[in-house]
Amino acid sequence: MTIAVRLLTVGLGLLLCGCSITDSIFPDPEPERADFQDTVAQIRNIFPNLKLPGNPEISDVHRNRSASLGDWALCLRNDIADKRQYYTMFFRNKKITDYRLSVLSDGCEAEAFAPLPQH
Amino acid sequence: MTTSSRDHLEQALAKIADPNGEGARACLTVYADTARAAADRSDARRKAGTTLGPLDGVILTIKDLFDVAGEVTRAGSKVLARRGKPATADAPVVARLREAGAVIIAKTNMTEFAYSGVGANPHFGTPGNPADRRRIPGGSSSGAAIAAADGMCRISVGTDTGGSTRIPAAMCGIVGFKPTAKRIPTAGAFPLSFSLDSIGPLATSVADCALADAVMAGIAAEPLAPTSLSATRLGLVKGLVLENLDSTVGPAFEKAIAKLAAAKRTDVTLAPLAMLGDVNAKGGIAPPEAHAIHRDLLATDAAGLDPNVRLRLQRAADIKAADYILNLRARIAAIAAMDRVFDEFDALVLPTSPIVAPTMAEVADPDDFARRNMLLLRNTAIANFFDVCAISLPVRLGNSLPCGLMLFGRHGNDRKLLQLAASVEHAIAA
Repeated sequence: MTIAVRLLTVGLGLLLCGCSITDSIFPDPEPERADFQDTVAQIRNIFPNLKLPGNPEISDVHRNRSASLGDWALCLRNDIADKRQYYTMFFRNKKITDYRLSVLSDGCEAEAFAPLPQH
Repeated sequence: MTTSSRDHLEQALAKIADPNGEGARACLTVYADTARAAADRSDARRKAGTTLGPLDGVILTIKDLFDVAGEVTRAGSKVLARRGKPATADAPVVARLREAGAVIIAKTNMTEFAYSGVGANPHFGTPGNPADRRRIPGGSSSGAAIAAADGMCRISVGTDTGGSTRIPAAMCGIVGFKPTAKRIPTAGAFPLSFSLDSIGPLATSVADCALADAVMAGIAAEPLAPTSLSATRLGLVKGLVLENLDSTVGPAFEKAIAKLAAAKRTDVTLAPLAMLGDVNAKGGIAPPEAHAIHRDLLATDAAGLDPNVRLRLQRAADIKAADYILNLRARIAAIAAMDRVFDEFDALVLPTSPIVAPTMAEVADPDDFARRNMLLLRNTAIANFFDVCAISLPVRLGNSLPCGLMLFGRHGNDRKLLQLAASVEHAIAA
């Protein structure tokens, strides 16, 4: 097989699996301070669905410690200690696109939390 | 006309009291009076047109290691029953079940301290397997499995540190679920391993397990949405997990796999399993944690313990703190490595246990007990170490003894695994 044919084959392969290649080459952008109000608004919408007693508290946005669901994450918990639950919110393109009850490797219990800012 | 909660309760109480049944060995404490009161309150709510949700009025048992306010928590041990102090509050998981209207009928028998997969208990008796009463029930949630399989309740709540919901479920022909460890708070549950303990249900259907799981996890208890098997990627795990399958499990598992032909199935060898081997070579995680929990008791009351449990606890005394710390750190890396496996698969499939339930005579000798206990735990303990969620579904080849098909799901994807398990349950029962 000539070099030209090999390059063509590789090029065609890259073209066919373009989405995944693009995802791995360009990392997901970190949510910034300017995005914070949008994030808070999203959490205000999500929190009632979780049916947790009390009020929400959130951690800073940090790099996702698990391998899945996004490059950036934030931990959410309710403020009633004896009924506390931790959730992890995952970002894609600076928006929360997924969340779950926290798992061990999310490390949420070691995070510092603050109340969700008032309007 | 719908049967009332009180009617269901009376039927379950009759099963427990049946002198020809296993109630006396499966249920160590029976809450007949409080359960009747709870069932009547549930029926009154239903008559009034209100409900606390889908668990309202459901008859349920809890494992002997959960705190109930005012009671000493025994964890299947006569030593703890004597030394312990009454719990000041219900365990959070028990409180959540009560708040959802569950009718708690009994506390169920278990391996002492939950420290074996066999399910034998020399202090309170070992309940016989429903398929053959001469055989062990599997453990450690032994009474939980018997109670659910024999109709003493609809759902049992157990714990799982190395397979303790899934092994007895497989041995007794029912469903057992182990959630991601942090999904359900373990406070008020007598610990075996701080790192690996999890709380999960056993029942005759995935739907009932999902119902109890949702309430215990504090999420909405909604019906499971069906998952299409044709859109599902299953990894059929090869290698160690298929070694030493006995003459019942091997063919039964193969037949069950054949019924999943609609799914996209791919053989997979789990490279991260080598990390588990390295950790076990340095003493593991559960053994040093269990030893730490029971060290004082071993010094003063060792003679009062089940000899098989005592031996395992004592054996961990020489594990070095440095090795334990390294094992914990290695586990974090191992969890991340296993997480990446689930980029390729929606679930992994393997036999729950390589063997069917041994007879009680076959585990009477300590060496035989140890060998079979290791076999029983071999596949299930993988899920605890890698912190994935896992479920055992019953598989039965004709009239042979029951065994289990196990699914692993990505950690945190508990609900998705339960949805898939409901589809697999339907397919393998066809």
